[in-house]
Amino acid sequence: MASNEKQTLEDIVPGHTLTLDFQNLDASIKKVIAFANEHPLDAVVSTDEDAVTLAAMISEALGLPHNPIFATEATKYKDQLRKILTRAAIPTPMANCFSITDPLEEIAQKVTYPCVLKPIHLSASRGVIRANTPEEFKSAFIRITKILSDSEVKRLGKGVTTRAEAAQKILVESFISGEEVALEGLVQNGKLTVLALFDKPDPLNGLFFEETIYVTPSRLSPIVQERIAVCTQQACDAIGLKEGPIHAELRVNENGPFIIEVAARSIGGICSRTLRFGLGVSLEEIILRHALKMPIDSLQRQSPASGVMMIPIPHAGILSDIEGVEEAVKVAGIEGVTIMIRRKQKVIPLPEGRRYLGFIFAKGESPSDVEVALRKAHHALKFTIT
Amino acid sequence: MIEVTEIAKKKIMTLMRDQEDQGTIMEGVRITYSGMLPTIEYRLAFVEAGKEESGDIMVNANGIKVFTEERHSGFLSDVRIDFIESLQQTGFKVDNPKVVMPTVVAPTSPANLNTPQAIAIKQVLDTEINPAISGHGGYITLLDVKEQIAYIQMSGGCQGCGMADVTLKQGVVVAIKKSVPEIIDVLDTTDHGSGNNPYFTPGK
Repeated sequence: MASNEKQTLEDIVPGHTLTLDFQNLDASIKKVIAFANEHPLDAVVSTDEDAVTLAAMISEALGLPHNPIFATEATKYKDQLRKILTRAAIPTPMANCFSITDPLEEIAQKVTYPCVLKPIHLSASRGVIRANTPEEFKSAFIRITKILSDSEVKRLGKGVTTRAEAAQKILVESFISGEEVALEGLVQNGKLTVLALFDKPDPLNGLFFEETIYVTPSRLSPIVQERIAVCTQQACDAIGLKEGPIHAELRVNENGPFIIEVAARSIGGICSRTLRFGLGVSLEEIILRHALKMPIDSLQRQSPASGVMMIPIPHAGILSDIEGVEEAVKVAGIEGVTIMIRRKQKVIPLPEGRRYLGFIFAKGESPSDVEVALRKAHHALKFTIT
Repeated sequence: MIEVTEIAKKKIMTLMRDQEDQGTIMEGVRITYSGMLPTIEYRLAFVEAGKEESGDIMVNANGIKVFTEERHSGFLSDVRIDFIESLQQTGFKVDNPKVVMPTVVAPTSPANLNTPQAIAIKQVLDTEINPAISGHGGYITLLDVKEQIAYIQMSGGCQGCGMADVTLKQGVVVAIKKSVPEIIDVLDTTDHGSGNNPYFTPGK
């Protein structure tokens, strides 16, 4: 296992973990090649978005199957993704990219409203803000500029030399109304298999775009679901994604599906716990089996319905107390409640933050049963933030 | 004898029908195991019609064809495949009454930390592991050694840390097994949910 933070016992038990500098790709690749000479590697899988390009570059250097490097780059940088999708005539928001040093007053008059502003290289809705007027636009632009000045955000923008300026850019795109869905898929030799399609029953219309409930199977009609799958396959083709997991987000309205995001990774956080395939195989096992070319018994999601709620942070402060977890777990259909942030820790909501208070998992006979269970359980929880 | 409970049979048949609806005919299920006593993990997988493997033996258990590798048949001879659906857990459960599976809590009988194994493990913890993890404010205590399994507890920066599992599996287990080869596993009894000062907080 390789990470950008040194494992504390790496020097005591060499050969088990590896520390890589994610900002220095060439040095990281050389280090992995040297490691692989002594400890042969069969596959390289990135566990999150930060390292998808590095994983592809390492795989290429080692001669292992991988997504094209340019394709992983396109999934990491929203401006590139928009360009590729627009060029391929795949429905996606119209977008323009601006520098944080561009004349704000001028841009605010130039863009079409409503619009959505977002950093080009952040994920999990971080820094994503809707603006309906020039005044809101200016306020959002300044707020995102401040987020981009954060040292950790700058570091994320420096992962790839060609996009060293990522933390200087803000994408402004048209707001697409409609329902939002998330598609979890596996691409094998260019062909997408839909592993799960999640509805997001809470409306995501701004001001910020905080994820809450994901429920699968989708309640959209089979025809619409098919159109979503086709649209996502076309997006993968246009981007050049050939192998591995994808997580796509789409908006669906009377004009059909629109691609909002396609990431070359699986669903974030611990949300994948809501998915089991065949006789109980986890999403992670499927991804590893695919990477290792091991047999996969089934890509069929276990029925009936399941879902997860990412517990939003209501306001900034220090999390001083958590109550009601036992009560929440007792709600019919609830499979578990996992609190991710400990007491006495600082909590920061969107758009500046990037974490959730925790996750609630549910199963049920129908998607609506699951949604009801998640809402009841969430209602039972009480977070004191001071 | 491999036993498939009624509810597990019903669930397997439903899943097999789902597969058939997708165009794949399933012959039965294969059961395999990994690990070593007493921490064996069982795994179930579908067997596609025509893709049975040579060397498999097949048992008809309650109408379900269960395939196993012949070399594993000794370990699987008394396996019970059940399906449980509760508030806490849903899924197939494979038990073997002849294999005592450990729960990850320290043994209740009085700990004996004066055995040669325990002393050797404490030596590894005191001289190698704890000095290294102290940089992250972490500390690991040996609680007991029973039947060649070391039970440990993580505290400080390790308790609730997003990397605690990596530290355990890629560091602590390897270091202890290297120094005390007769140890077959190291089990973490820590309540990570109660950790108030983890060094790495999990992402998202």
